Amino acid sequence: MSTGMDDLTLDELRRQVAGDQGRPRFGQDALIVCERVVRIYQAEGVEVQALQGLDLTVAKGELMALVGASGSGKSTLLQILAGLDVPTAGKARVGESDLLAMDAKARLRYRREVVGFVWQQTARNLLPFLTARQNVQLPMQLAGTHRSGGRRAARARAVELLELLGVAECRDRRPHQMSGGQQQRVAIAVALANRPDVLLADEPTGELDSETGALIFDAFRTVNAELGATVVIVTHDPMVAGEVRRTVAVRDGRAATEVLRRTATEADGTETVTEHEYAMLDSAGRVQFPRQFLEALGMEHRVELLLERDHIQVRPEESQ
Amino acid sequence: MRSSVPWLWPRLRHRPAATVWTGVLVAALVFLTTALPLTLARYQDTALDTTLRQAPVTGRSVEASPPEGVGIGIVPGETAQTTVGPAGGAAMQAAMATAADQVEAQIGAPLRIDTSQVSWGIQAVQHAGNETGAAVSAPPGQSPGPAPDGVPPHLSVVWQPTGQLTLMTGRLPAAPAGAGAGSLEVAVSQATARTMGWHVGTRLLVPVPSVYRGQEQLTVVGTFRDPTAAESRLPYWAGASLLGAPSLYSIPAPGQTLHYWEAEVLVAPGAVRALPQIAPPEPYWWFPVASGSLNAGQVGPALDMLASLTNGDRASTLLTTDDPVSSGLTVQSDLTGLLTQFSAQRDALEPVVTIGVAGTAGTAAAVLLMVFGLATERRTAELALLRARGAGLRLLFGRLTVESAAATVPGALVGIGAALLLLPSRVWATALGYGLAVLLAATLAGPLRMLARHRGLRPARTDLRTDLVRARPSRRRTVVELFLLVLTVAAVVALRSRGLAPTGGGLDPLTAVAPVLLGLTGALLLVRCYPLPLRLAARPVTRRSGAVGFLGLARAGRGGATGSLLPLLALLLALTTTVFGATVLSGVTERRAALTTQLVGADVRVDAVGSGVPAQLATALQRLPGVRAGTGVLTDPLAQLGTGQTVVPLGLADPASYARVSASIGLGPFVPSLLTARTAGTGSAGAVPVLASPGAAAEIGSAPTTLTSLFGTMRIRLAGVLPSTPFTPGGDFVIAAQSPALAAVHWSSAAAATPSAVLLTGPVQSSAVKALIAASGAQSQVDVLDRSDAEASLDAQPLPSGAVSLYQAAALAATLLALLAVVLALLQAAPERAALLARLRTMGLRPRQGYALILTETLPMLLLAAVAGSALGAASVPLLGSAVDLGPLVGSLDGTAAVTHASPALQLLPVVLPAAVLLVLAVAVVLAEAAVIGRRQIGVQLRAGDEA
Repeated sequence: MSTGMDDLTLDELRRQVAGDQGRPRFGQDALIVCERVVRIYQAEGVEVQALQGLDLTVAKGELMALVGASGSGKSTLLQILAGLDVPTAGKARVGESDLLAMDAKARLRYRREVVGFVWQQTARNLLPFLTARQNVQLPMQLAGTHRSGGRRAARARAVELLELLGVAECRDRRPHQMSGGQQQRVAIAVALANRPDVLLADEPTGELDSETGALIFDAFRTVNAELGATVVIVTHDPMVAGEVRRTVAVRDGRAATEVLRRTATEADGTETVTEHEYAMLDSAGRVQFPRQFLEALGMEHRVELLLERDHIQVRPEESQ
Repeated sequence: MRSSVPWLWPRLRHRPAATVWTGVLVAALVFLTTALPLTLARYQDTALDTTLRQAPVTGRSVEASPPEGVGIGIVPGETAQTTVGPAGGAAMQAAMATAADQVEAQIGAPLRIDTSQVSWGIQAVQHAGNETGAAVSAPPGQSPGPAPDGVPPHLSVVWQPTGQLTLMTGRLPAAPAGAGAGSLEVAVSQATARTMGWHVGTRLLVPVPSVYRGQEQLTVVGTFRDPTAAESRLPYWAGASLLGAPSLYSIPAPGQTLHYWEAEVLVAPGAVRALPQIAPPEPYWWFPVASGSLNAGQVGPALDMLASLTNGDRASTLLTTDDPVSSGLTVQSDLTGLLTQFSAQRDALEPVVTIGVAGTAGTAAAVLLMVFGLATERRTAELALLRARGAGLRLLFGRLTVESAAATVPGALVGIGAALLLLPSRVWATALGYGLAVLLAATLAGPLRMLARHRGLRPARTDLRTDLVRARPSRRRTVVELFLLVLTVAAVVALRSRGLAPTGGGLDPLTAVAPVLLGLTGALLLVRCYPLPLRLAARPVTRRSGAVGFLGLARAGRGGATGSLLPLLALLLALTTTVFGATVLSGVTERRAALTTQLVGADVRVDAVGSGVPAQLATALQRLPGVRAGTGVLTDPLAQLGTGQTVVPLGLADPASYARVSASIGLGPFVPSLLTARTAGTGSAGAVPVLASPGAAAEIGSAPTTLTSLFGTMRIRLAGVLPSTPFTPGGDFVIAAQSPALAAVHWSSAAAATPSAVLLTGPVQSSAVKALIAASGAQSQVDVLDRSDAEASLDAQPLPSGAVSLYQAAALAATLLALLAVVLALLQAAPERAALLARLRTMGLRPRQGYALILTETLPMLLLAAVAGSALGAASVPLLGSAVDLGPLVGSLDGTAAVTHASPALQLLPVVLPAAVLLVLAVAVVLAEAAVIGRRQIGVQLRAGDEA
């Protein structure tokens, strides 16, 4: 069934995943790099700034979530990463592809080969008149080249993906014969059909109950671990943060804070999960503090900075 | 295409109804398009065929003859350009046949001569004053034949080949002994023998216009069978029209018309040498055009060929040919006039037909656009997904085209096949081209429209309102609309300032485009204005407590643009076309009635041919069942006013009954007492009061004047002016009361008692009139004109009736297409509406309120379209009417193109009726939909709604 190439890729990816556990440095060997991305559009004659200089880096093989309230700009960012929208200004790069400079042809190839995505509405991810297997095969066919050659291989890969995601029994069913969770897992398989480097998901659990939602996150983790795909999940649900290693909060069109979860195994074998909240430091050196921190200390307009040996003190401006 | 994922079948299976509907629609459109050139060619071909078949022999043949006064050397002694010498019968026959071949060789395509019916002969006809033929006398003791008014029968002599004759009695005539024998043997038809009282052995004497001999003696030696009715139309009989049967001729004489019989007798070929004794012999050749050989598309080339034959290359070839007989022959034909008139009428009809067809085409295009627009909207999500997943434009276009072709190709095949099978015609290749063009457009339009929508990658933003009320037209759209507006105004102004295109100028594209442009611009303006009445209507409704009105209007305003605007456009175009068409058609009907009234002057008119309508018959006619009013009129068409400078028809009638007829038919009603009022000084001294036409009244003046007629001279005075009158509806006239007028001239002739014409009004059966006349035995003395017969013959004119039925079909098709547009728009929104109704029903909406809601939602658009469409159609009548001439559509009775320009006039019924019908049908569809929705289970409904 599996070709040599498959094995090679999987092994390679696994090695990369193992080696890349640390926090990515800005821009260097990161898969997704966004620098001061700005996106402005017109809505009924009014200019809307959806992204106002957003900075984000995602390392290869990461599983991360973008959270934020609706209107924060997270969905716009996802559209940009999916190659469906173009930033107004800034820099955005995924792998070798510059998202601002691509022409239509390059953009088409980018969507075919570099990214795969899953949308919120379960019904919108799949064509209703095709079976699950056919839906998975479709992107391979749209890409035109069945990379490992022939429809047999494409079919085999489709079945393999469905098995990996635990929905092999649905292969000959049409979307309306499946449950929501099954549909969404098939949708993940569809997104992975062309072996993309990046898997994007927009509220993938939005229409599902929490139990099924947990299953979907399992699927994402499986994909991340087994195939080494970099996964970016957009959600408004802060609880999702508990499911992934890294969570970036987007506020007012900018990345605001970031939560990293580390699982440490103690000497006695118990696992402890430590969470650290970080503020984003952009390339120009700006930091945004969480609003509640500022309100708690009454910080306004100016703060006093003191450089210590291993940290920086930030104090409210002393009142006269 | 190598495909691991099957596309076409799952796709078609997924929405079979959409595929079937598209196929049916395409089949209908392709059928209409393919049928158009077929129908045009068929009705024009039929019209030409009928015209030719009904034409006299001169109209369907080419005639060759030597120029007048020039002999051809067959007959000795005459001055000939070339002389073949004194020829015997056989030599002369051969020479005639050779000449026939020579001429026939010059007649080329597209004229095809019916070789078997080519006919020739030599005629000798005496002409003296108004009389044709030589007056016959008989040897003493014998009668020359009937002499109705004391004028003896006349005859002329003809030789034609005898191959077609069937001898009944006696033998065929033989050649005379010598050129100057003074005696000829002749044969006559049985009808001639019967009418004239001749038989084998009868001797007749005809005067010889020569100083040496007084008379030529003709001896009847045989009779031949009469031609049948069909045969008498063949050139052999029609070329020598009196050979088959004699005819009664008339010559005007002072105070009366004299009648005499005219016959034609056949002589032997050897007798041709003796013909100059009677009259100069005139050879002739008839070349009939084979029936059905000429189609409407060949009229131009046929005219070219005729021109060449009569006056061009081929004519000069004939003049210079070596053959001694045929050289010098000239060709003439009434076919030229017939074909010219045909093409003129056809060209005059073209703009009218084009307007109808263009309107239908516009409606069809709007419906097709709407179908594709709806399909695009339905598939937006699917296509966006495919694009996002990396489907290239080319691949997508290929798949969509294959998918669309799966519906359109079978539909188009059915449409084309049906059209070609039902309406076979010579222009099938053109028709096929039209059909295939529509197929191509229908197949590609859908995919192209969808691709245009999904060309960019950015999916359409869903948070913007695209509905009717809020939709903010883009700047580009405004510019396009302004451009269309300017174009429409320019087209209408150009059309009006130029008026009717010159006849024969061919199709004027502006004429075709103007109504469609008018409809389109109207629709665009309406779409711009549509939100305003909606908002106005919504305002008071919002304040009231009922929810239904508010909900309905809100939904009406928030319908998608494609679902509302294109049906609106289709409705407007269809209504504009239909209203304009209905106005034109009702104008045609009205004008035909007016034309026949002008022709007949009453519902039935019985004219005396000779002396007068017998008094008994006149009385009996007025007592026929159905007669509302009847009168007899004594007429003199050539009465002289005053000093005799002005000639005006005079009618003498009983004032009371004549006034009743006038009032009943609506031609110049008057009060009878005007004609009976006596002036001071009765008797011969008093002037007779008369009513006159405006023209005649101007001649009479206010003072009494004299009027000289058949009946004598009388003094008349003007009692009133009438616009027209039944006895001579077309022109000037003078009417007087019969008895005082005749008394004034002391007329006592018996003719005074028998009217020259009997006028009847009311639903009289023309068959009853004819039966009565037949019973009285006066068939030959009267002539019957029936208005309904005249109207029927106007309706039956091949070219106008074909155009009228084509126009009717176009209007009907446009109406059906508009209705289809409404139904499709309703069906598209049906699932969503059903879901809404179900949700509202869960909140306690009653079924009756459901009906009301659906109606308030859909009616604003329908009402507006109906009102605006009718208004546009009504506006198009004065705007475009000047470009449409009713004249050729009305047609004419005598075949001459009496084309007086007549524009259609605005009428209430044709304007209101189409919209009313459309509205009623549309409301019926809406109510049916509401009833279907109401029947379903709420649960099923809600789930179905979510799926959609």
